Amino acid sequence: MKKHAILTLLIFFLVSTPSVFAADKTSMDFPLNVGDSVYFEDGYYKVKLVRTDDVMGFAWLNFSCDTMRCGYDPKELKGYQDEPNCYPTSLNQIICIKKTREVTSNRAIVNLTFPSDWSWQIITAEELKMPKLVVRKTVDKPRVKVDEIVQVKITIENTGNGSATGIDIDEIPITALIPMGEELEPKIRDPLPAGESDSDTYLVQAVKSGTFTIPKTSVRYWDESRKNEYTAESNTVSVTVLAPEVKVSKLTTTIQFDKENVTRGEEITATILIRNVGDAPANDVDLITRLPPGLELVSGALEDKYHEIKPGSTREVKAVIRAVKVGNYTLTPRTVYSDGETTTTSPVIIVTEEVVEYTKYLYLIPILLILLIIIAIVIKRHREYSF
Amino acid sequence: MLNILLLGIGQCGNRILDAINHLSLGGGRFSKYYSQQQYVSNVQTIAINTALNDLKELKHTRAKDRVHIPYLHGVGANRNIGKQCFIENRDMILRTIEERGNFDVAFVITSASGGTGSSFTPLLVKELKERYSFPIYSIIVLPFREEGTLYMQNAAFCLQELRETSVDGVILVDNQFLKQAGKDIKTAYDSINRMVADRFLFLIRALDSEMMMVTDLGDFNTLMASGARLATFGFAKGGKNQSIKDVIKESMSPRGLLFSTQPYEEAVRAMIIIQGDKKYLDINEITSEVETLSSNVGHVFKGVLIRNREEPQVLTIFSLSASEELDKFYLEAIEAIKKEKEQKERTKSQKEVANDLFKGIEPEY
Ligand SMILES: Nc1nc2c(ncn2[C@@H]2O[C@H](COP(=O)(O)OP(=O)(O)OP(=O)(O)O)[C@@H](O)[C@H]2O)c(=O)[nH]1
Ligand SMILES: [Mg+2]
Repeated sequence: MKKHAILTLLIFFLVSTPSVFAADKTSMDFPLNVGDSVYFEDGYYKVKLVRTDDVMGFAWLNFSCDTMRCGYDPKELKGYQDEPNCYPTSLNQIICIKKTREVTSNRAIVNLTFPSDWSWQIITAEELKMPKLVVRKTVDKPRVKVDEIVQVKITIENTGNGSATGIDIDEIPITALIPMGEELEPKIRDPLPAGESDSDTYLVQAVKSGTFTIPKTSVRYWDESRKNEYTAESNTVSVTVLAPEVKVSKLTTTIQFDKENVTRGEEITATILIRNVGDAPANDVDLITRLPPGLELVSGALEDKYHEIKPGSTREVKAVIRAVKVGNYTLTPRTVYSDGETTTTSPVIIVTEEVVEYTKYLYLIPILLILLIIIAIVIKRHREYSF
Repeated sequence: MLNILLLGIGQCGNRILDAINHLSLGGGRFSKYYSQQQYVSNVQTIAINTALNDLKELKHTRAKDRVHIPYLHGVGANRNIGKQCFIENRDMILRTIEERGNFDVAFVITSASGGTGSSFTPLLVKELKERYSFPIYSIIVLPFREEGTLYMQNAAFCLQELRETSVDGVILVDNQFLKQAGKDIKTAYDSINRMVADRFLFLIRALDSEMMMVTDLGDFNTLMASGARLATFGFAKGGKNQSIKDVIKESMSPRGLLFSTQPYEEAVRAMIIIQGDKKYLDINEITSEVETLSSNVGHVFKGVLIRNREEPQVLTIFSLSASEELDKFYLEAIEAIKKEKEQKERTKSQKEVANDLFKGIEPEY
């Protein structure tokens, strides 16, 4: 198995690699400015003039190949008069720098040796500049309520080494978040130089509840030379739109008595409280309390009407009632209002027959008797002595 | 227990009777509403008057004890009219007294100088004496001397007539002598009345006591029967630091007496009643005082009442054989009568002169 794999790899190499084994080599002078490159086999191998030393006549060249395919690391080699240096190694001499001439501070003529069947091409520094745009999409609020407005920000950064031009931003609207204003056309500085960034915002309004994803922003752009077109895409952003709060009034009614065990004829104070525990005003409030037979109203009222009860506020109704018959009674105040109605049941009033505790007053009898006797004596005496 | 009849006749008699009743109730303003009369004896009080207003004025005498004699507009200091009135109402008055039961002794209180009291009393005493055997004493108030000739005259005749009845004694109270008792006439009357009440209540308490060493009604009767059947009271109340000797002396002094008397000269018998807590009653002092008195006036009835926690009180009663003061009073009265007579005669002759002048003259119209 292992042998097999090595064999396969070997075949792969033989097929994919330009014929490096070809014995025919060509030497050629390339006049290069610093930054210019020589592309062999459409850039499969690249040689770039990195810098020069005009005094010594040195020229440093950067050798590289398509790392993914050739497997060699880039290497910087010094070119000098009659002193060859080869890439990838001095044993495996695919490309060699044989000599340099006419070295200036930014220019040199380098003599390279390479397989004679290779194509070549000089790529100038300008031609090498490539823009690379990174698009980010953000929102100011990821959670909003219906009707609220969200700001969407698109930031484009040019992380390449060449300006981006002809930037075309494609922003797709969605129905849940409707853009405000005319068209959805974010404006970005054009051209956008390398290393710079710009952003634009637009506003959308949430029109329904749910969680929505603002789709990717697609950007198409060109390099400076307008030769190459590139595309970039942003992330997506999701926005949660909360259901709108429904405001309603809610009334609670309570009824209390100052005493619940009474004797017939005794008076009871009833207090009814209506409280709006909702978050909207309650309107057209009507409190209805029927007094059961056997109870009668002495003063105050058990019913009332209110045009409005604000949230959190309370209304009080007080009445003095009296039991005219023995029995058990409950009151059921009903409150009808714009958003509904509520009924509550009072505690039970137990009315018993009046019991006069005569024993309580027993001690009065002797006192009264003594008083009567005294009065009688005084009257008698007064009569005796009045002439 | 003694049964005592107490009559107050005329305004003065009524008021003194009322003062006695008041004191017997305790003397408080409202005591009649709660207090009992503190008589030891059975005392029946009757106020008799011709003036309804005088009876109405009384405060401490029961209504049933007030007897009104309806007679014109009163008797107006006229003793003749008074006598006439008594005769007409005699049966009614006697019946009222009879209804009160039997008595051991009676006292009649009156002024000598008014109309009603001075004329009723001698006649009433006479009637009672004829019917009953119990002794009757009269407490007689003499007028202020400046009250007028009519009062003087009335007083003289009243006393005279009274002494002609078989009254058992006349106890004298002299307004003139007691004039200093109050700063105005009203307070003077009230305090004189109170003085009489003090002495009278003291007396009947002493007479009705069952204690040893006391005087009784018999002693009192003997005392009053001697001499001219005139008598007067002396009284004194001692303070804590006063010796009993001083109290006895004070009772016999003008400050204690109700009538101007020289006891050592004018008294023939005396009674001395001493009351109070034992600690005040030094028996030696009492004995020596009584001895001094008896060596001057003759027999002295002596009574001692022991009353726990009470301050010493002394009542002295003198029966008089003679009275310089009374003689003087009679003389003044006679002067007054003469004056009255002269006045009357002057009026009469004036009338006769007028009659002479108008003789035979007819009015012409
Ligand atoms: N001590 C004393 N003397 C009184 C009192 N009232 C009247 N006198 C005296 O009594 C005399 C008058 O006699 P009254 O008792 O008023 O007369 P009366 O007997 O009612 O007779 P008339 O009124 O004339 O019908 C006068 O000398 C008064 O000074 C009194 O309250 N106390
Ligand atoms: Mg009178």
